[in-house]
Amino acid sequence: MTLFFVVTLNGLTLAALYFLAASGFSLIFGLMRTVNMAHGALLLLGGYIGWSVADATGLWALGVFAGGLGAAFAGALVQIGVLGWMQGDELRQTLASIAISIILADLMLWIWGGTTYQVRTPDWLSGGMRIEILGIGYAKVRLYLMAFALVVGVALWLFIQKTRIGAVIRAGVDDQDMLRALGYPINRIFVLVFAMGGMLAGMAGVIAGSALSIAPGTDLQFLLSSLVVVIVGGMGSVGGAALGALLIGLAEQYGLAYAPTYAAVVTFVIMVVVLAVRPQGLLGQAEA
Amino acid sequence: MRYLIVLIPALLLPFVLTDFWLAQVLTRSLILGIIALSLSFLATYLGVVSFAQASLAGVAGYAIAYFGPNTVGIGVPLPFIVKLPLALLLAMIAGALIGFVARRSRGIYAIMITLAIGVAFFYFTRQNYVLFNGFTGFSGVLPPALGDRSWGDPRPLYYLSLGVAIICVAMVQGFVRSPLGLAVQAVRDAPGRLLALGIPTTFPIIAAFAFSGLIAGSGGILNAWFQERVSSFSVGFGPIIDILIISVIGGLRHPTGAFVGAIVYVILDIFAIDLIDRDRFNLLIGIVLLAIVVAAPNGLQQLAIDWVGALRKRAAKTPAN
Amino acid sequence: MPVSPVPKTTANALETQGIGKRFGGFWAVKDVTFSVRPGERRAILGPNGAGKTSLFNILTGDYAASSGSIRLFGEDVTKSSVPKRIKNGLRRTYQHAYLFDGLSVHDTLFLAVAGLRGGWRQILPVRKSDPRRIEAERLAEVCGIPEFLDRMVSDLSHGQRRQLEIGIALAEDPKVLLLDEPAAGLSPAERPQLSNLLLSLPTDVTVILIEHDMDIAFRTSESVTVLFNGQLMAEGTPDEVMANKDVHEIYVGGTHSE
Repeated sequence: MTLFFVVTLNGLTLAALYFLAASGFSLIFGLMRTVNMAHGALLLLGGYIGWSVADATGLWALGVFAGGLGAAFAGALVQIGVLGWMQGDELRQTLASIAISIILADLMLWIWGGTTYQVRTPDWLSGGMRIEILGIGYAKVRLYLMAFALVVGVALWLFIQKTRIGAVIRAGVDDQDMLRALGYPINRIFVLVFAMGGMLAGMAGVIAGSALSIAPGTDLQFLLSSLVVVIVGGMGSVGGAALGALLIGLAEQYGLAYAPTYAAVVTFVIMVVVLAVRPQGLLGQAEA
Repeated sequence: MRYLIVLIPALLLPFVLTDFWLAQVLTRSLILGIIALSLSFLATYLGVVSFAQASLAGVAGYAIAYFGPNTVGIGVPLPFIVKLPLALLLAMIAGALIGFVARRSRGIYAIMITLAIGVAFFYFTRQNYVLFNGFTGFSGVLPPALGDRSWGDPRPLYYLSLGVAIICVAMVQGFVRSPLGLAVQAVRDAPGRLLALGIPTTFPIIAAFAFSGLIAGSGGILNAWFQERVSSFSVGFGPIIDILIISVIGGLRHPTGAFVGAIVYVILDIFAIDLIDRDRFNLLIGIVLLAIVVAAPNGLQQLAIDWVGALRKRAAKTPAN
Repeated sequence: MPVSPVPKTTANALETQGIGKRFGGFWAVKDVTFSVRPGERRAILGPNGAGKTSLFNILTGDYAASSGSIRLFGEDVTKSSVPKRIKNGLRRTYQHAYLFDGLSVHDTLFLAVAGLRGGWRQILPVRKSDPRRIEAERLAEVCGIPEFLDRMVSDLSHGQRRQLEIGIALAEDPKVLLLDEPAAGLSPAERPQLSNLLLSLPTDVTVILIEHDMDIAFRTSESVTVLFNGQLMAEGTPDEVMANKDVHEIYVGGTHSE
């Protein structure tokens, strides 16, 4: 039973990370129909920046902030510099973002090398915590990660559902041309959304580097998980991203613990089943 | 006539080039071109950009390794005459399965799904030791003997790859003139209208993917023989993106452009060491891809066609003036 | 084993009994009963939103009927799938010419003729002498665009696309042809050509035509059905319908005019 609880907690940890990574990806896709293949690279970039800042200053929280800010800046730059010029040509945007992710990955390899980094956490995040009800101990940083994901999820949901800019984004998800016709500065909103998506990715990168570790390849791992989470959960929906992340995170960890040879297949099977039953994802709107 | 301009030099090249050029540049380009052709075929005629073509090539490569001689002691050796069609059949079945999963998805949705399938296959090969021998995969995957030599020697392998490439291009051109091939293109243009004609859309989609599996698989088998190995590295994110880059350079909507893209890619790969630091090849190829997407979204072949067209126009105008 | 009560030879080509289609609380088509003889030319008129295209969609099986029944040559097809009705000889064209832009006219008509029947041979390239290709050429002739056989569909003019639509619908021995506003968007110069094409359709084919252009409708049809608010309002020869007071009311009465 202890193993089951630990595996469940591991699954929830992973789900929290997947959600943080996928929510930005899903937001960008939802509003702009852009599949940002550089999302994983932005995540890793945020992680590296966060590590560097935390390492230099000794302030973990500053690292998270810097990582988020750095990736947000990079995301906005990607939209302004390249993808914004091809708005509407989805395939071309996808290909361009792949090129950007290749370039970014190689630049990061150049700067930070091939080693694995772990962001040092402050004392209040280090060590373990005993969970009496389950009778097990668990790493504090991971428990806080789950709480953080929950907070981000709720905040994002409130932002999209309850604020004015959120209403504009939501309308943009459904009808881009109408919004442009109504005179909303849709291009600036697009840059903002890219910055927000980048910030979510960057923070997720620093947190992934704290709870687990980051290295070349982390970008691909999280890009793939974001893809699967969004395909399963439904495009452009916060709730969908959360549900998808939960399903995939838990399935991956249970698979790893109980059927190690087939762990990768479990994720895949979930995706295929969802696609067969609901091609638009569990909580997604049907394609127009 | 047009084909002879390409074909005659291609047949004569082995007599003038060194083994290095023959094997590392031409044969490699042909093999990568065949795999990329399977992607350009889908993009052009079904309108779907599939990121799973390296995986389909890998399925055939793994099959030929599993059922043939290898040095890792895994698998069931079968006679050549059995394992070759079997490997191609498995690649076709894998293609059909991917087509079935992605049958209702178009555009960027299809990209995401095929990419997820491709990368999931990569992780699976790493974790599975019974069929795929995990991380390390198969080595010692030798092509059959050719008299007292081997099909793997530079010249025979070059001619073999050239022959397969020609057959694949001919097959694509034949397929798109067939009723099924026309139905595939009709799915691309207006699936609902095809249904209204009483023709199903799922079957053409699955058939197109299976056909692309046959082509990718042919390339995959050649690749396994060329490398004399097949492993998780043959189906990872790197090869997936390489195949995409080759198709994009050649022009996604120009099936034969795949070979143009492959030559450009291979030459960049080999001479990057002289241009910039060897380790920075990915940076170079990323910039090349970005430049193509930004400046020549229809690929180099279309760019060349446009230039030739413009030159001809100018040439035609000059005497009139 | 009950014998079919109506022998096929005397059955109506198409016959509906109280068919309707409901969307939520709204009946797009309500309680429509009408029948069309084999070989008849019938026009369906009515202002926009009268339910004409919805009626077509029920007849073809694109919409499942919410009520009533449909008989095609005596056979109940109310529950049949779209392909099954196509197999029984029912064809339609679309209001918006929705075609395969990346194919040639020849290949489009070939697909309409050949379908995907014939087993594994469907993966082989088509020979020039293939009878189905020849049949496609004949259809291009019939629908009046033989000179555009090798043209890409995307290069056709709007009028040529409408003609191709009819050519597609004529493939494979249709028995009942549903034409949804074939003249929509045509220039005045193209219209007479289209009505000539409609008049030249094989006489054994039953044609049901939705048309806004009264001139074309009355020139090509022997009988007229008028729909209004999803319901059948008048039926008869063109003259009878022209004389019908209710028809005048909806078209001229002011409040309901288009």
